[in-house]
Amino acid sequence: MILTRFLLIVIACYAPLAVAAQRPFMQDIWLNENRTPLKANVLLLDSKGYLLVGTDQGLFRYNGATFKSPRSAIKAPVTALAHDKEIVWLGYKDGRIGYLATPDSIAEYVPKQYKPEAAVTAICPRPDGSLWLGTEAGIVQIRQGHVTIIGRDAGLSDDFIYQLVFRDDHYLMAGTDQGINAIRLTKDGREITAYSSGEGLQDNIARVVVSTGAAGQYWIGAQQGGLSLFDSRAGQCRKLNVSGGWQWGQVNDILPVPGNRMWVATEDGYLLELILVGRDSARVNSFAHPDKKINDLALDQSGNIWCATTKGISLVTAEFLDYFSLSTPYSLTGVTAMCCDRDNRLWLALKNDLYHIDLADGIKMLQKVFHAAEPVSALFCDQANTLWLGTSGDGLWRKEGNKTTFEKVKAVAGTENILSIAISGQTLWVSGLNGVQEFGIRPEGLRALRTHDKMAGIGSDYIYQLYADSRQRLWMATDGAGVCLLHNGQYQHWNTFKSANSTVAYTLTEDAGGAIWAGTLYKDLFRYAGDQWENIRRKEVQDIDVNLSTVNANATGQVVAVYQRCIDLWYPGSRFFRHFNSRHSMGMDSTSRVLNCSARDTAGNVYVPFEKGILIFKNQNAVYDIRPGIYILRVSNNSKEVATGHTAFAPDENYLSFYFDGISYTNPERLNYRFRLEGYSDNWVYTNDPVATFPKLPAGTFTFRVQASLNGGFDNASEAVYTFSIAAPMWRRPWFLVIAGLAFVAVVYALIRFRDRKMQRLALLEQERILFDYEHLKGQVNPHFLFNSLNTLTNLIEENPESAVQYTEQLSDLYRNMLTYHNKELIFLDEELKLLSAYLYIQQSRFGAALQFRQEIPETLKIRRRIPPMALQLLVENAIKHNVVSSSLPLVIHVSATEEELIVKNEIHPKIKTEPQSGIGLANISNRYALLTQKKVYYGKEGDHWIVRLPLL
Amino acid sequence: MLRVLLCLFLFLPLAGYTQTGIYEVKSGAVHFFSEAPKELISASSKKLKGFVDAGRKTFAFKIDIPSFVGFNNPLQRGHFNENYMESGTYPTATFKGKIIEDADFGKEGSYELRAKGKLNIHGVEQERIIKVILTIKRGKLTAKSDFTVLLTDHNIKIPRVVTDKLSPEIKVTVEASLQPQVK
Repeated sequence: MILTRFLLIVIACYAPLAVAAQRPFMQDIWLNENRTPLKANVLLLDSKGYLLVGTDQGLFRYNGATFKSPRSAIKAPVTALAHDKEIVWLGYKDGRIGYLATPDSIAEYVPKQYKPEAAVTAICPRPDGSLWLGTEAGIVQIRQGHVTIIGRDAGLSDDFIYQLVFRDDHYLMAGTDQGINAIRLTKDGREITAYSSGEGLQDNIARVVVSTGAAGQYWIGAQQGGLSLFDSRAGQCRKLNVSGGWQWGQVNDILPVPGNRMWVATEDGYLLELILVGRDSARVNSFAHPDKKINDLALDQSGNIWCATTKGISLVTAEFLDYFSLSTPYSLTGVTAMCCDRDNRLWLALKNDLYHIDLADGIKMLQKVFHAAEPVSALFCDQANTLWLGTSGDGLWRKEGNKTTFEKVKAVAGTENILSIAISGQTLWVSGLNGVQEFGIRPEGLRALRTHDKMAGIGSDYIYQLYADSRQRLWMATDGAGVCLLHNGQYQHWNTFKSANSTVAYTLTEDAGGAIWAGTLYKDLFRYAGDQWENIRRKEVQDIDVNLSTVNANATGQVVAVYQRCIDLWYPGSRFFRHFNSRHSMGMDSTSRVLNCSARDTAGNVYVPFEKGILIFKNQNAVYDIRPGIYILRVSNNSKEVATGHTAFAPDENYLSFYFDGISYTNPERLNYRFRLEGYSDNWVYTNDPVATFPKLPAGTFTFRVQASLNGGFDNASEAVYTFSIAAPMWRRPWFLVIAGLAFVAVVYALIRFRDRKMQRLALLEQERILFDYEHLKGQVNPHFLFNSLNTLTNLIEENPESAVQYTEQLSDLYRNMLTYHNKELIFLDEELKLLSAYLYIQQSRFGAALQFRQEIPETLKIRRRIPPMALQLLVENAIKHNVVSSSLPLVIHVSATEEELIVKNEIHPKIKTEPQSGIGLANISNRYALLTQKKVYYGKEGDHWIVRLPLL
Repeated sequence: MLRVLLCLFLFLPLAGYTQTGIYEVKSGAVHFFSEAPKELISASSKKLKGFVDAGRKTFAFKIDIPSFVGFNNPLQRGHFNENYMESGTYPTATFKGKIIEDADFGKEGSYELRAKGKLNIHGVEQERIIKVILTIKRGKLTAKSDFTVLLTDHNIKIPRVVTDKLSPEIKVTVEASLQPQVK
């Protein structure tokens, strides 16, 4: 009890100090909008760059800004994630297996013989198409739907599998409750070798197995006692020693990172940075997070470490940014100058007081060293570790590296107020209110060499920063003449700094690649790589607030630009800035407005003061890429979703929308896009909305190209592409055109033929008609007919003069009708009957009751159907001509009609002496019909009747 | 639970008489504490039941939730059963699983072992690894263990008004003495 109390007191004493240790920012990100904790079990960065989070409530997809939860029928916690080429596999706590069928939906994978029972803890898809599962009841191999279970019965030391790792196609390792099992897959089966504490393993419960990156070497994370290194080729285990022994509890995950380091998450809520020292031991930086357990770790391409925690996910900045807190008397506004000496002590001037912080010390504390009579305005440490201190009003002071006291540097005229100090070799430059004084550093003291001021030609008397670069050149940031270079005693100016906004330069630095950076009053940031000054600040970015005060660069190429309320970090490979401000919930409230307040340690890490202490922009052990990713999530055509892989569309499927998604884990709020549809227009469309729509596209092949940017620049942007084609409408396809052409030719040919034949037929018809007319006329002017008619007329004149007039009229009608109708092709039946009536009148006047005409034709037919003119009359003529017409044997002519034909019928009583037969009457009718229709004229004897059937037209 | 017990019973005739057989809890107690800023709550139950199969290195323990006594007042016990543990729906808490380390049950001495298994409280199962100190003396076993239970792990919700009176982390101690089962 006493011991406990003592320990508590000790911990209480250390608690505020522990906060002062250097640590990364950790930003908690809630998976759901109502900010309730949701346990995240596993993380996976997929091939597109999305962060997939397997939680107790299924899968979430994160693009840096929002979470999307793909539709799923499986309602169980996701406990394993893996991806193979394009397919993302999911393992569930209830043993089921799922995969992402589309980016927004999960489908269940159901192998026939597989019974989901025990939780899936690991998934390994293999290039040969087989799927290996680690479960709480053994290893499951699924190959072409065939399931094999490898458990204790098969020789495994335990059934509970924590992790499954393949070394190559034939060798896999499983972490279990009874050590690790190395399984060699042979042709005949498998050989299992177990390694447990007897073989040097730290602990039998091997929770984590992770490749170290070296061939065949694995880190084993245990339930007790930390880490072991397993060499699978030698079959050896070695414990990893840490000073003071392992005190952070069960290992939950291990993340090896570049630079012989790794991050370890533990059940007790620790995030540990292990830095390997030699073969078997490591130094540990521990960061406690008592409010959550960390279950899984992942490192994205932009250098963020992601933690799956019991509350959600967290972002850790450790690979690029750390901080340490400082308590009073530190205050951000009090910092007036900073530098770092060769012993890695950070010197910090808080107005008149000078402090230093030992950066090698785990606990960062301000130690007061010196009190100056006037405020300290400049600090500089030279190669010999001499610290130079400039004041506002009390001149220049210095301290030798091996001494502890400061001495005033004497006899320096015009340097009472010091703005900046620079030293290169044995030359010292001091900028004051009257230009720059150049001195030679001699053992006996300083020797004034030269004055660089407005008069001398540098264009200004106020120089805010002096920067001696690695090539012994002196760069000067002036008020009025921009950046001025002093090299070999000559001044150099650039026109870039003659424009009104660029005449005031505030700050200078040299980056790891030897390029010079300059910041100006109007927030422009220039980069000089040997020929031209390039303005790096993107004009499009509006939200960078006032005053760029400091630039500095670390040893791995990153450049820090400090503004009054935000910080930009330049990634040279990506050519983008990572932007930090108070809205990023990292507690980075504000930065100083004091010019040129930053420091670089001997390794190159950059220190920048902020509200709560000091930020450390670290050297980066790997080339991280902060370029945003871009991915076309889905394509819709005519408002219908297009299936993946479908890129050929019909002519009317020409209303396309592309829904894309930018992925950025650095600054998702600054994402902007541009897109174009190649083959349609080569102009880029700039937008902030992740959708592009093209209505009414013509036929052709198009490529939709979309790019994402953080700062509005696209020269180095990543892009997503979707190529598709819209088919030409049928009438524009070549085969159709050929066929249409042929058809046209055929039609023209057919028309010509048809016309030819029609003309021919017309000519024939005309000929037949002339013949008919001739015959008819011949019939009518037949001397018999005339003779008979005139006889009849004579009789009538004598007996009944009134009828004679009528008779004469009928006779003239008959001849007039012949003239009227002889050149018509067809006439209606009633007209024909009218024609016939005149003829009949004449004949009946002659024969009286001996000639009887019976007509049974429906009235409707008379005005609908037609026949060639005079055809009926000809038939009646024929009947009279060939038969006996007498009162004892009267000739009865029946005319009847059906819908299709006209039937003329009479009994046959042939005359003894017939008139000479021309034989032309019926044949002529048949010919005329043949020219008009396919229907045939029928005539012939039926019993004792003569029947003629004329088709009605 | 039932299946494990059944398995254990099936093994009785085979292993009942040997030293590496099945041990049954003869007497056992479970005690818990909640140390919240405004109130210290503790309660215990002596109705622990269970078995340890030394041969198969498996175990199963069970306790009736309503059997906990010793609360600060009867109302508290009522709240415990009705509001927090919902003992009407979830009358028991169980822990069953396997023993990780090897221990020679035939040899007298004291061992620190890890028991791994599924801890079921309030109907929510959690995979837990719990340290146990096992003492073997004259053929009898004594098991002692301390561990903590997070209320959130088992979906036990604390009303906001009692957050000062109930700790989200409950400390649990278990003590049991076991004897070989003889039929």
